[in-house]
Amino acid sequence: MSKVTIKTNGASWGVIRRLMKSEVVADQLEPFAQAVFDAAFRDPNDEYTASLQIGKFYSSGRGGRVSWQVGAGPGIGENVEAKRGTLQRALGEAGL
Amino acid sequence: MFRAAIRFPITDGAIVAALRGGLVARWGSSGLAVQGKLPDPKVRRMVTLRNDSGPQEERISRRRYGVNVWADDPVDAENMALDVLAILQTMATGSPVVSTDSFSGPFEVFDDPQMTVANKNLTHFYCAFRASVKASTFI
Repeated sequence: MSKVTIKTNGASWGVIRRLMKSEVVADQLEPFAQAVFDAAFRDPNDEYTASLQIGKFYSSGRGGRVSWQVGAGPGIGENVEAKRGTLQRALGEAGL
Repeated sequence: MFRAAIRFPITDGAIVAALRGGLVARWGSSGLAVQGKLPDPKVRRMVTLRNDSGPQEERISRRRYGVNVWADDPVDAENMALDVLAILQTMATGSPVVSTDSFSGPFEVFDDPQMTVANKNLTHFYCAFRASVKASTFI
């Protein structure tokens, strides 16, 4: 799957680590991920836009983070990315 | 408050030149094309660079680039794509590219229709990166 990930940045202390995978931070990141998704959704390939997905993920452990991923289906995602760089352009349009 | 106008430099040519220099040193110049668009006629090893642009923050522009690599041997194609990423790490000398980061790939892309050169199928790899460019004062 061709995808981009928007995640919280590095943290050292326990309290910040807990914050890094909190619902509060997830809510803060959601508009950025949604902006990337909306920009990618303007791609002219209908098969590609139909396969676009947005999702929230939590990783566990000391380095755990909350992240949002925007991705397209296997095969079609790679082809569109190689041809037009839709997700890369979407990141730029979202100011990331 | 007075703020001077700024202008960003073109970077595509400098990146293509750096990639061409690095790849020719490793793979030789025979049958190798490194440029912005696919060559016509096609050759057995090709690298193209595409500027996907990006946001500007104050005097820095962060431009995303996509690199497509084709070769008539699957291992050569992947090795060339990995060489591309390595060359890009060393090319940020400050003028015009300040730094390169956010590398992703390379991953294989299956062309439809299949590209061929001299009756040999070409293997296609893709990778992406971000180049940061500094503006100069516009006079």
